[in-house]
Amino acid sequence: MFNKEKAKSYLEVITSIAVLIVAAVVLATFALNYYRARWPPTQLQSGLQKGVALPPLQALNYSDSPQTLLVALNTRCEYCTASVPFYNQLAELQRNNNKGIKIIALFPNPADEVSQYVAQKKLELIAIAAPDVGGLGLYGTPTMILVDNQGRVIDFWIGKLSPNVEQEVIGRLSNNGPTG
Amino acid sequence: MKRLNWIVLSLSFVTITTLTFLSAWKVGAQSVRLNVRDLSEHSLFLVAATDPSFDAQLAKLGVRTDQVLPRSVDVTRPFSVIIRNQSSRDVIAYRLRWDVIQPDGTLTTQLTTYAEPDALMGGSRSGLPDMGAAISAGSARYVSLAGLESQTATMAMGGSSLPTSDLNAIQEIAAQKNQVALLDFLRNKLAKAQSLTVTLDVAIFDDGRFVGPDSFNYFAQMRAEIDAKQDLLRDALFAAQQNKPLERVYDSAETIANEPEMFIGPDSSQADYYKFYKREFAREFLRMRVSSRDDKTAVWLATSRLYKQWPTLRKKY
Repeated sequence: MFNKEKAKSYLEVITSIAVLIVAAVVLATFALNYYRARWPPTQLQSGLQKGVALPPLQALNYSDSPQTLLVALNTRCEYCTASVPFYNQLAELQRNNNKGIKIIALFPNPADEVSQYVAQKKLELIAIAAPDVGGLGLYGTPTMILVDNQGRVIDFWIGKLSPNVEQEVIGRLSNNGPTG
Repeated sequence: MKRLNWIVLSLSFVTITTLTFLSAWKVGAQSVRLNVRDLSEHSLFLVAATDPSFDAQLAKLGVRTDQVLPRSVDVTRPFSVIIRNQSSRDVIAYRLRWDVIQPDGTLTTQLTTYAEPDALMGGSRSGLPDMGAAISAGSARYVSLAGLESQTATMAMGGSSLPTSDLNAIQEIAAQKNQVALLDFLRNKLAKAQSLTVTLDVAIFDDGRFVGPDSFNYFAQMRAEIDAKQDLLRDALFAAQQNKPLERVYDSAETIANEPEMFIGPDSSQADYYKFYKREFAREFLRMRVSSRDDKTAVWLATSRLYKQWPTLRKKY
């Protein structure tokens, strides 16, 4: 004999189980999507590249010298300060072994701040406050860019350099090191 | 029962609402600047993922990045590059340097070396153009830090500068062939990175010309490897030519082969590399003895490469 109450009870249990299964599936789907979204997608942008011309800078004329080494610094950057002895070595190299390479330190900071920094840290490079230095496409300081007289990138070095790489830069500037 | 239904429905509603909110709260795309330092002055070019022709060149090479690591193309792209050799000589070894720069200025460096040094030691390169590590003149090669399969035919020697905690991390994971761990490692690095610089740090042509900044002194390592092999073989050949008992040649090789294990890394000296390789070659020399019908044949087989031309390894200034 058909028991209406029993059938209703079965139906309720089945409904509850179905709701639970649907909830579990939805939960798993959202959990998976959330895990995937945990890591943001990477948007790659072109950075420095050998052979590519840099935009002009107001404070600088690339054609003044066959090659120019741009040393992008920031008064608040600790790696820049830690690299000052190396930059002074470059300044000395330029004085003693003038191969026509101009070395210029560029700061995005105000001029008075730059003067104070140069005096305090005893930086011997020619220092220029260049608020438009960000236009070079730099991401972080210190960054050194060797350019030709048309502003084309010959080579570049980012961050505080290891002794090996410092030697490489010195080699490049004194024309006694590897060309590559 | 009705009460149970209400509880289940309410719980489901709350869970779904919370998860909908969480999944909608996505972090914005991380912007990473990709810098490229190639050796264009030596006609060796790097084509990185930011190059508009990257995908077309990949297709031309027949590379499908989704097969290298499924579902992770966007993650592996920054760590992938095409090396184009537009010079007139084959490149038999090259080293890529990947520098990940974090917003606080710290630098994580990863080196990957691909080499067929035998080509500089009287040996022959892999005859097939797409096999081995070499890049023939006028051709190109796809290289990816995540390309576990693509590196099986190459010799990968890692090294790092700062910080040391990341020393060879990628290669360790790659060696374990743990794709999930590798994927997470790369995601983690990129999620925090400010910029990434890929440098063709070293390239060696088949005529022995060595070019590139060589920031970790690979030249000394390669020089030591060549010298070690040459010295070992010359000693054996000299003894054979002097009609000295070959037994003594093998005793000497055995002494070298049994020297204690040593580990080499970026900070090892040229002398360390020399010792390491001499021991390795001595073992190889002994293995050849086992597989030859007699000692005379084995010594002849091993030393015959000394009669071939060994290109002189030299730095191009």
